[in-house]
Amino acid sequence: MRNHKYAWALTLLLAAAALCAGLYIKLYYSAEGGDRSVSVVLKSSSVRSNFWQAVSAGASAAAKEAGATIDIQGPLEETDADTQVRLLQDALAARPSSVVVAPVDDPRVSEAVQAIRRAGIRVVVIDMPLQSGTAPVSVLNDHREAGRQAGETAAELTDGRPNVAIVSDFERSRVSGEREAGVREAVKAYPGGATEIYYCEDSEDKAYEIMKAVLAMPEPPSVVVALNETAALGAARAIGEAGDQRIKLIGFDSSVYEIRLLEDGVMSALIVQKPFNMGYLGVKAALKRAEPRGASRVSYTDSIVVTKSNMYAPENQKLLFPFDGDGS
Amino acid sequence: MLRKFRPFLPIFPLKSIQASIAVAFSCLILLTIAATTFFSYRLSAGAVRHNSENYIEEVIKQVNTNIQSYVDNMENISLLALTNKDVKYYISSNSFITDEERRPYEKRISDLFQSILYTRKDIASIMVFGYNGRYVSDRRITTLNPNAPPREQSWYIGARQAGGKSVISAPHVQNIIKDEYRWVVSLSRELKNTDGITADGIFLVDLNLSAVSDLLRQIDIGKKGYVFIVDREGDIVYHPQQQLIYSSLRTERIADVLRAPSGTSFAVDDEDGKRFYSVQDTNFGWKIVGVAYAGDLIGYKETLRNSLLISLIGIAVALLLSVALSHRLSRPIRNLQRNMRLVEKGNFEVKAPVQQMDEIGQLSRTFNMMVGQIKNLMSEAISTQENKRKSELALLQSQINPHFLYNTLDSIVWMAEQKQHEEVVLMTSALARLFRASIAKDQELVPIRVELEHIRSYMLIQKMRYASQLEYRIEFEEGILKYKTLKILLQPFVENAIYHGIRNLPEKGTIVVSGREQDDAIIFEVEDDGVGMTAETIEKIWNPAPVEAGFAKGIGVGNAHERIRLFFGPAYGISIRSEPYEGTRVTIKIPKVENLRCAIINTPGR
Repeated sequence: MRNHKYAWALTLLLAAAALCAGLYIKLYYSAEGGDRSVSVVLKSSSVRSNFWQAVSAGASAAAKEAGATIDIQGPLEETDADTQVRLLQDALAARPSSVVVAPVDDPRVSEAVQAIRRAGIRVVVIDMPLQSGTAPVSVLNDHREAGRQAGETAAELTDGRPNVAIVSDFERSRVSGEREAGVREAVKAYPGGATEIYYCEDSEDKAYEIMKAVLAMPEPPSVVVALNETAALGAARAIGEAGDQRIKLIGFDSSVYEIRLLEDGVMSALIVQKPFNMGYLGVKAALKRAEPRGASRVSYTDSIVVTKSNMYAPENQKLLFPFDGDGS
Repeated sequence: MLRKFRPFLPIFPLKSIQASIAVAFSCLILLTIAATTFFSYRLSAGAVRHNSENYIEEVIKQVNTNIQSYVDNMENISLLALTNKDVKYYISSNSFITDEERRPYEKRISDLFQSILYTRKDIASIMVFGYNGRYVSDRRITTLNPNAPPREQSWYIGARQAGGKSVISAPHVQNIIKDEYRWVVSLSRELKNTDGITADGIFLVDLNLSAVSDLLRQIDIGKKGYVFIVDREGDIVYHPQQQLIYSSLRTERIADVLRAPSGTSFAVDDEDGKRFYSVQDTNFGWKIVGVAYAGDLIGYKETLRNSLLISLIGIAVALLLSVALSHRLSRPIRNLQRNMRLVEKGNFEVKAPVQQMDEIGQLSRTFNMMVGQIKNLMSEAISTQENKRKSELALLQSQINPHFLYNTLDSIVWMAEQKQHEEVVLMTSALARLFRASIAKDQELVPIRVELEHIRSYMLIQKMRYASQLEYRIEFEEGILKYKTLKILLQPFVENAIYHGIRNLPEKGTIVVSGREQDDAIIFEVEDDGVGMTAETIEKIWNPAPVEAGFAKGIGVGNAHERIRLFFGPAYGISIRSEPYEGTRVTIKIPKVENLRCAIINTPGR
């Protein structure tokens, strides 16, 4: 009899306690993101890299919006695979709820990412896909589409008859390869469209020499597409010296030098990516519990074509002139 | 009753009153507390909301004041330039002043601007552009960006159109100086000539955007809260996630913000979470909007946590209280229950203490009375049983009274010696009949016919023994023979009549045994005309003195009377009427009983 009544009191007490605990949990954790944490390992954490600083700002913005804690790391050099592997191992040791990585093009990095995935941590790859191994969820820069945009712009500038010289850096570079393929694809669609590829091996002087040689040809191409900044600067120097206004230059990414070239009119158009969006979408995808059924595991951030006439439009200013007050 | 309630509480059948009371109390209390908590939650949620709205409003007001002070400062600088004589001379379109003459002005203006810039870290640059093509800045050497002529810039055009009023631009990249791309907010203003009508140039002062963004960054309105600025048209001036909005990855409640008057706030609850928008207008056309998330605000959480904690404690206390109360309320019942259990075990000495005069007190009292009554009934039953056993034993003895048997057998022997064969046969068969009648199974009741047979045999034997002294008559109505009577009811009285009434009589005595119907009863009478008795003797017969071993062999009248009353009830029994030297008449009254079953039903001692 005695036990019976205490059982009753206990049952009620437990029920009440459960109710209150439930309310507590609802109050505390529904609004917040729980204790979710994201580790972001970028290709570069250099403050001088506008692109990666914007990615970092976007990532922070997404984390803040979700109420998650975020830790952003990256080597100083974009090609420093050793440091990135070490940072990935550190991230694995810290066991965050998810990891966002912009992988350096190196098999060891792919291996480190796979190790994190095997540990049951959600991985989102941004910028470029892993060099090897199955792809987890990715938010990528669509370099091929950017190349296509460059090709289309070239066609516009030449009234639909693009004769394009492409100045790339290395033959094995994946980014440049994608961009080149995009340019070729777009140009091929036009009658009389032609492309020629040159490699400057990431040297401005070499690009300058190449350009000089190209301009000296009896029938020089009407458009030069420089696939990266060094190539663009070298080519711009050559074109500037030649003073030939008929030769149009199209570049990728944005730096102060390229912007000046755009203002000067030497550069006709810049294909600019949206690094802030990439960082934002990457972290947002990382904070999702899982992909909705049937949803694509790979998404792309787009690029825009900036010309002299629209470079100071409010939406483009933000992309061309990263402001360190962003995302805070 | 219990069966009826089962379906409602099939899992927890409440076995004790205390549990029932405790559950009832608990339910009641829980319900009350739940209701109060709910309402206080609603109230406090409202209060918290109000507080947080006030708080955000206060913060945004601060932001507004700060931004306003930056703009006011720029405004002041512009006024300084506006009223500065050097500036006026320098940009005046007066062609009489030569370039050489203007040079010192330029230096003085530049010095002035420079000194302002030194004191104000938030100002990026101060410049004056004359319509005469001259310009002067806070620097010694100013190289303008050849690709960005000032007169094409929106701040320049805006100031011209405003005609002397200052114009505040949205944050933008200032690119008019070569190789400089700085994020600034520009205040531009047309400079009037000394005549106050014609304009001579445009004044520009740039505020570092970082000054504003640092200010906005420092604001603490929760983990996720942020501040953004829109202009009159609803275009975003500043937003921490401006790029996302341009890319349509994010939307902001611009329409709601534009509709909201300055100093007010509104709540939004959508998939991004519940949040408050607080809107403040600046006097130069910007709307500063603070967004705070409900879950983020410390006060909000604190209050709710406290109210929850209090209700938790309340529930715990209430439950303990209900258990304690039910324990107290049901204690007398449990005491009573304990006593009842004792009674169950056979202890009738229990007396439940009557502590209070409520229902349970009354119950205790009734219980006590009941136990007392049971006790009395029990002792009564015990004594009755005892009496019955005694009378039965006596009866048994009377049936086979060895004296009588010996005498009878002696008579038979004597008669046999006398060769009186017929008498021997008669007497022996009478004796046999007598015994047959008396050993009639175990039955207490026998038909009157059997009893008659018995008496007849007995009388016959006695007659043969006391032939000289005894005369007898047996007069039974034919109608009563089918009814039943107690076994050997009459023999003791006949025996008494013979031994005490007739035997001591000098002459012959007569005994009349009769049986007749009277209404619903049957009356037997044993009458003799013997010595009779005095009233004292009768009294003695009713209440015989304690055991006189030899004498008490026969059946006492009292015993017989008791036997009848035990069997048939108090309405029946024996009455004796006697006169000394006249005779004695014993009247025995029993009910008409036709069969045993009836008798048993009538048995209980009513």
